[in-house]
Amino acid sequence: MPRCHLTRRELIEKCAALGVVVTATTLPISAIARIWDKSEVHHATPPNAFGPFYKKHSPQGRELRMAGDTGLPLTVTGRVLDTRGEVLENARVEVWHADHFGKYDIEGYRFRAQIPLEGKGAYSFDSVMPGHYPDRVCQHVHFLVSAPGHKTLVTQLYFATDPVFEGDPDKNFTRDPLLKSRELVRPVVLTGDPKTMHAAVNFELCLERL
Amino acid sequence: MKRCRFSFACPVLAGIFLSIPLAVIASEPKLETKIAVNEEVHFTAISPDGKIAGAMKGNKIGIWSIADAHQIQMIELGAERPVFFDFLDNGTNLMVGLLNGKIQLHDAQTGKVLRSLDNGAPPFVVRVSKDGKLLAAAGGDREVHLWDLATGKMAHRLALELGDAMDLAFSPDGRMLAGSSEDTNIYVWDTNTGAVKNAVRDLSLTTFGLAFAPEGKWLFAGSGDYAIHVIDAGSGKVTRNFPAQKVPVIALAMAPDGKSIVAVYRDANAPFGNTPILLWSTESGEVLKKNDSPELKANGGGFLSDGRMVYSTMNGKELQVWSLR
Repeated sequence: MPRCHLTRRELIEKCAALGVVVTATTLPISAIARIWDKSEVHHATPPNAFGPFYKKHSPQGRELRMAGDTGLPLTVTGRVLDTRGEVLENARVEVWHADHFGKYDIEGYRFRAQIPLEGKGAYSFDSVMPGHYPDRVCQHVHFLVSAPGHKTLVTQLYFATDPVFEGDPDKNFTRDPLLKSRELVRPVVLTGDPKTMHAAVNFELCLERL
Repeated sequence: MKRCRFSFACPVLAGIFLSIPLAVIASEPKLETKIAVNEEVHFTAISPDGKIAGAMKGNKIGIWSIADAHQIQMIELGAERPVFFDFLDNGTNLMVGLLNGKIQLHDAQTGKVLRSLDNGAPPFVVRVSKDGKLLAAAGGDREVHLWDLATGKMAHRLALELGDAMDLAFSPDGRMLAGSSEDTNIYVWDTNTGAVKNAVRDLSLTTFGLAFAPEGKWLFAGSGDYAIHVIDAGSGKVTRNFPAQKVPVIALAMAPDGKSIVAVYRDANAPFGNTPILLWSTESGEVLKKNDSPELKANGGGFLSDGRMVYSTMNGKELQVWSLR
C-alpha cells in the first residue's frame, strides 16, 4: 500500500470533514489549518531567467570539470526539497553555465549536465567557477529543476565572491538587472592555498507543489 | 546572444533584424544618410516608406528624416525604458514596448501617445498581424499575450512551457502565430481559439528568428544550432534543414515573393561581434549571396514598399542608413 503523505493542514481538514475536529472559533477550518501548517513551510527558491543558452539532451553526470580546464575548481552541493521540507528523491536537476572565460559551449555539452541525485534529495557536481559572459553582469549557473507534482523551477545561482559585488552582495546584488533576489547569491567557501584553491557552494532547491 | 532586457542581444535583435535587407549582399550599398545620434545605438528601425529612421537612445526614441538627416522627433519616455520599437502603418505610427509592461502607439511625427496597452510584462518582442487586427507580445515568464486591436483587449494568454518568448511571427493570413521559446521549443497557435496547433520539440537549441513563407504553409526557424529549419506549420514537423554555418542565426526575413530568405548570424559568445548575412534560396536551400565582412554590424533595416532594401549600421556615434536597388 502506498505511503500516505499528509500535511498537518490536510490532516486537519480531513478530520474536520469527518467530524473528528470541532472548533470553538468562527474561523473556517482551512484558515486554522493554514495557521497551524505555517511552522513547516519552507520558502520556495526564487525563480530567475531561463536565458537563451539552454541545450536539450545534456548528458548525465556530476563531473563537469575535466583535467586541464582553466578556472577555479568549484563544487556545488544541495538538496531538492518541497515547501513542506520533504526531500524530492525523484527530482531532475539540470545545470549549464559558461566556462572560465565566459563562453557557453554551443556545439557540445561542456559545462552542461543532468545531475543524478544521491539519495535523500541530495545533489552535487564539480565544475569550475563560470566567467562573466560579455553581456551579463554576474557570474552564474543556470538550474532547471523538476519533480512530479511540483512546479518546475528555473533559476540561477550567483556567487557572493563575484567581483561585481565588491565584497558586499547585500548592497550590490542589484547591479545585475536580472538578479532580483539576494537569496540567489550564495556564500562561497574557499579552501586550500592559492595554488590549490577550491570553491564550495551550497544551494538548496525548494520547489512549490502544484 | 543579446536580449534587450539584459541589453543582452536579441529580442531587440530579433526585432531589429526581422526585415534585414536582401540587397545588402546583392550589390554595392548606397549611403542614403548619416545621422549624428551622439551615442552608439544598438536598435534601430526604418519606416516601410523609407523616409524615416528611428533609434533607441536610453529612455528616448529619436526619429530622423532619411532624406536630409533632419531630426523629426525625440520621444521622451520619462522613467520608462523602451525595450522594443518598430514603425507601423507605413511609418505613420511608432509602436513602443516599455520595460514597465506598457505597449504604446505613438504618432511618429508628433510623438503623441495615441494608444496604450498594459501587457503586464516587458514586451521584448512585439508583432502585429498583416491586417493590423492582432498584436502579439512576449508576456513575461512562460506566456505570450495576444491582443485584439479592435477591442483593445487581451484575447488570449498563450502558454509556453518554460522560459520567455524569443521571437514571434504571424502567418500571412493571421490565423496562426508562431513563437519560439528559450526552452528551445517552437509553438504554433490558432489565433482564433488560442489553442496550440503544434509544438516543435525536435530542436536542441533556441530559435532566435521566425518567418512564415507567403503562402503560410512553411515556417522558417533560425536557430542557435547555426542552421535554418523548415517546418510544416500544419504538422509541426521539421521537413528540411539548411546547412549549419559557423555561428547562430539571430534573425530571419522572408522576401515578399517568398523565393529567398535572409538570415543574420552572430557568434553567441560575441554579442557585439559582426553579423554575417546570407541570402538563401527557399526552394533549393542554397546560398545565393553572402556578406560576411568582419566590419558588418547591421542594427536594423527592412524591405521598403518601393522595392528598395535598407539597413543601418553605426560608425562611431553616427547612424548610417544604406540602401540597395
